[in-house]
Order: sequence, then structure tokens, then C-alpha cells
Amino acid sequence: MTEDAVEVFNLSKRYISRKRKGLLRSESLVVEALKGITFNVRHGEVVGLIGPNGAGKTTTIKIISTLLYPDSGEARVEGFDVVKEASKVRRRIGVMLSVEKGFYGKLTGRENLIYFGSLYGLSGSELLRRVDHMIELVGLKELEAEDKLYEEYSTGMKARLSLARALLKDPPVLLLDEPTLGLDPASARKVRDLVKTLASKEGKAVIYTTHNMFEAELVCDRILLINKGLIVASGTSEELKNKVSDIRTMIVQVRKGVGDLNAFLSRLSEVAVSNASVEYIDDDLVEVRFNVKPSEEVLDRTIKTITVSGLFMNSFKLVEPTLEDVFIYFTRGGPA
Amino acid sequence: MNILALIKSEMLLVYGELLRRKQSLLIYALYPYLMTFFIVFIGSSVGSLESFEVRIGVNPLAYLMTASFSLFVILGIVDDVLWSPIYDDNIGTLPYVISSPTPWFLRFLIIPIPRLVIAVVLGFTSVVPLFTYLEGLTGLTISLVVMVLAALAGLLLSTFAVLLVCSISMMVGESWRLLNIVRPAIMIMLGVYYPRFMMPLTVQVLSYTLPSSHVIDLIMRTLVSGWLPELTMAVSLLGVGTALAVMYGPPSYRASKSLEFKKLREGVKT
Ligand SMILES: Nc1ncnc2c1ncn2[C@@H]1O[C@H](COP(=O)(O)OP(=O)(O)OP(=O)(O)O)[C@@H](O)[C@H]1O
Ligand SMILES: [Mg+2]
Repeated sequence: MTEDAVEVFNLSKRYISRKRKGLLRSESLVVEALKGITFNVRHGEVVGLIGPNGAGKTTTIKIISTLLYPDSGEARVEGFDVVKEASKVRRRIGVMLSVEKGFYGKLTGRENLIYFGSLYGLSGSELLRRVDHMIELVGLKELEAEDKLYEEYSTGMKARLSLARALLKDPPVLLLDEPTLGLDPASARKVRDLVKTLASKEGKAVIYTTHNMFEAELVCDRILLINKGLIVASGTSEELKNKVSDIRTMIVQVRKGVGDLNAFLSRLSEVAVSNASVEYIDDDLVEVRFNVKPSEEVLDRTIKTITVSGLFMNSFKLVEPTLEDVFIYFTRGGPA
Repeated sequence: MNILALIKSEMLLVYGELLRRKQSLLIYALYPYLMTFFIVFIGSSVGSLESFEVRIGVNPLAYLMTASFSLFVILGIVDDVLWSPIYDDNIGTLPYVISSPTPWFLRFLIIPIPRLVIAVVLGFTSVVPLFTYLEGLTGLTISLVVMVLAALAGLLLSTFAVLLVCSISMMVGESWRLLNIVRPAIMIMLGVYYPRFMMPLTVQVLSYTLPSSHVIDLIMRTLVSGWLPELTMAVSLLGVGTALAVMYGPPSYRASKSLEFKKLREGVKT
């Protein structure tokens, strides 16, 4: 197939909601969730939508899944318009929107899959065969969970069932919104491996959202960094890191409780090109991490700032940025 | 689209929910009895059972059991159709229902079918034993007819008319509170406990627009006559009911489309 599996062109969406001011008073509030995003996904490719909370990832997925009308712009799945040809699109997508909800509690996992399978147009022995295959594939069988009521499922079981439903009718396009949320490391790896295999071996096009940068780097062939409804950067994780090749991440470890950490953080804005993140390493060490454009002057000023704030420096490192640093650079205090 | 597969899985869902909630199963079976005894209890404080029989010409227990049974069958079906959008929204299944290739409208139409089986089962625990006890073979025959008619009444009403009501009320405000107004209104207008000729004129006119009210009418006439309904009357009442039910088809399709449109404008909740 030559055409892209998913094409999104200049998509925008604003939500009209209400700002509550007490129980009775409210005023209308316009949230611009998407401000014109454009991208495409090819068959066999996993594209990651990465961005902070409220960036517009779920909104994008909902529009492509025919669950939300865009205000303007277009989205197509295998050439079919998500608004005008919704029923054709619906035959081609598998959707996973939230790991914790979306099934009938009084039915078992298997029965739930049978139910949704028939809504998806499967029937008879093919339906049962697909259901069994999916139960096996997502590892519900090894947990012996397929014949338990859904209301008795653990989060991980629910997530697996949700993925099983998305894959049930073997759709060419998968739309997965945070599929590994709440999963243990082994289960999350299983989901990642499965998604990668489905894309590379079966040519499925996948849109994948996650807040885990490590995961994004592992699963996604291409990453779209999205912030406040706009795509701010895109490329493979290597390309993204190269985009910030003039940037280094500075990691400063200081003694806890010595000097004025807050003063240091507020002075940092003079040298850093992104907000700093602070992490407490152990009982007496604090790690401050921020991006800089390295130069002698910047190094000098950073050291001075540390001294002026009365901090006791334990170690000082300048490293290549990770994907997470790139993310922070582009989404908070970055070039925008 | 395999309609049979859809019906089968809807049955799985309904019977799963019902059979796996033991208390609701018990309430289901006891409901017609509870209603009957409750009304008999209240009724006998204002008038005697004998005078009821003299004035209406039917054994009051049989009359009330039939009324309770019919009401329960109809409301059971009506409720499930009315509730389904709110229910699916709350438990988060709605996005998967809407993003499936099966039209939402079609799924609405399938909802009543598994409930018909429940209606028949319920008939065998309520009207059938009571009528057979009271009148032997005649009673058995009448009760079987009543059972089929009640199921039909539920189906005729829900198929399009309730879907229309449902879609419109969902557009006005998506809340079960609204259904709490819609539901008793349907209950009264059906004329189950409250005969149509006693209603105020406007309510009476509205009552005529409900497809099932004509079938209820037929059920009550059957009871009063004490034997199977006369054929011409049966055909004409069923005919009117069915014709009305069909007339609700196009507007209810359009209303369900508008409901879907509204949902997609706001975004289906996940
Ligand atoms: N139904 C709605 N009504 C009003 N505003 C909404 C609605 N859904 C989302 N929003 C707003 O739109 C913006 C984008 O939301 P969206 O759910 O797409 O973010 P997200 O990138 O998926 O975030 P997260 O990482 O938290 O899942 C947010 O500001 C959110 O508050
Ligand atoms: Mg989201």
C-alpha cells in the first residue's frame, strides 16, 4: 500500500467547558486542546505521541477513533475521512483508551471479548478462535484470568484485556492511549514487545502515547513531541536528541540542608534554558538537573550561583541530554 | 454485520448481569406478587375484594397480577433501553460501542430481545400458576395469551418509541433524574393499573400514541371477557399498536443519529 495508514492535517479542536465559581456561578471557558497539528503514520510504523498532561494526546486519539469531531482540519485512516466515512474507519481501527475501564463487570474477560467481538463484526467459530488467540497473546491465560469476572480483575489484567479487545479483529491501525499505565515492569515489557512485533511483522500502523520516555525510546520508530496542542518537535529519538545538540544537561549534586536551595533555583533561570528538576537522591544528597548551552561563561556563572547560594557541591557533571531532557527542553521553558 | 451474533452476545450480557446478581433475580421473580399483594392490601382498606369483582367482573388477584406482570415486562425492557446510554457512559464502554462498526441504532434495537425471554420466564412464575389455580385449563390458556401479549407490548413500545423518547431526553439533559420523570409518565399512560377511560383527556390522547397501550387494552379486555379475545378486535388493536410502533421508526432513527452527533461534538467520555 502506498498511502499512509493515518494522515492528520491541520487538526484543531477547542472544548467549550465551564469554569465553576462556586455552586451556582460559572463562566464559559474555552480550552484550545489542538491548535492545528499535522502528521502521518505509515504501515509498520509505531509513532509515539509524547507530551505533558493536557497537551492534547487523548484528544488526537479520540478524533482519529471517530469519537470526537474536530473543529477544522482533517484526519484519514487508510484514506477514509474520520468524520464523513466514520463507519469505514471503524472497521479499520483497534482502540484502547483507558486501561482501567470499559468492560462489563458481571461478565468474565472471555465473555467481554465475545461481546465486543460481535459488535466488531466477528461471529461463530471465527469469533471464538480470535478470542482464544487474544487471551493467549496478551497473557491472560498464563494469569488464569480469562474466566474470572471483570470486576475481580487487577489493573494489569484489565489493561491486558483492553489490549486484547483492540487487537481482536486484527485491525490494520492501532490507537493506544497509555497502554502500559499501571502495569508492572514485566507486563509493560510484554505489551511493548507485542506492539513492536505487530508493527514490524504484521505491518500495523500504531499510534502510541506514553509518559515513560524510556518506553517511548524503545517502542516508537518516530516520536511527536506535543505541547499545548502543537507539535513542537518530531523525529526518531536520536534525531530529537540531535536537535538539541548544542544543549547539554547539567547535573549538580549538593548536600541537603546546606545553603539556600530555593535561591539557587530561582537564580538558575539566568543560565539554564529549561526549568530545573530536583530530585532527592538519599538522606543527604539533592540532585538538580537542568539544560544549558554550554560555554565557559555559563559554567562560570553556574559555579558562582552555587557558591553565592551557600550550597555545598558534591559533584558536577555535564552529560548528553536524554530523551527526557529533550522533552523538558521542548515542553517547559524551551524555545517556545 | 451478523445480527444473530449480536443478539447472542446481548443475551450473554443480560443473563450474565441478571443471573450473577442473585438478589436482583429474586426481586424479579417476586415483583408481580409483591405489587399485587401491596395493592390488594391498600385496596381492601377502602373497598372489599368482592365489590371489585362485581364491578369489574374479574377476580381482583388475577387482574392485579396481570397488571403487575405486564407493567414489569414493559418497564424492564423500556428501562434497559432508556438507561443504556447512561450506563455505557458511566462504566466507560460507550467509546468502544460507538467506535465499533455496528451502528448504535442497531444495538438499541437488539436490547429488548433477550428481555423477552425473561418476560416469558417471569410469566411462568406469576400469571400462569395463578390463573391455572383459579380457573384450571381455561386459566392456563388465558395466561399464556396474556404472557405473549405483554411481551409483545414491551417490544412494540421499546423498539422505536422508547428510543425516540430516550434520544430526546438525552439531548435535553443526560441524567437519570430526567428518566425518573419519563418513566412514571409512561407507566401511567400505558393504562395498566389505571384504565384509559378514567384519564383526563390530554393524558388519554397521549396514551393512544403509545403503541403498547393498545396491547394492554387488549389484555384487559381479554381478562374481562374471561376467554380468548375476539379475533377482529385482537387484530385491530394489535394492528394499531404495530402501525404506531412502525411510525416511530424514522423519527427515532433520526433522533438517535442526533444523539450520536451531540456525543461526538462533545467527545465521548473515556
Ligand atoms: N470533554 C472535555 N471538555 C473540556 N475540556 C476538555 C475535555 N477533554 C479534554 N479537555 C481539555 O483539553 C486539553 C487536552 O486534553 P487531553 O485529554 O487531550 O490531554 P492529554 O495530552 O491526553 O493529557 P494526559 O497526559 O493528562 O492524558 C486539556 O486542557 C483538557 O482539560
Ligand atoms: Mg490523555
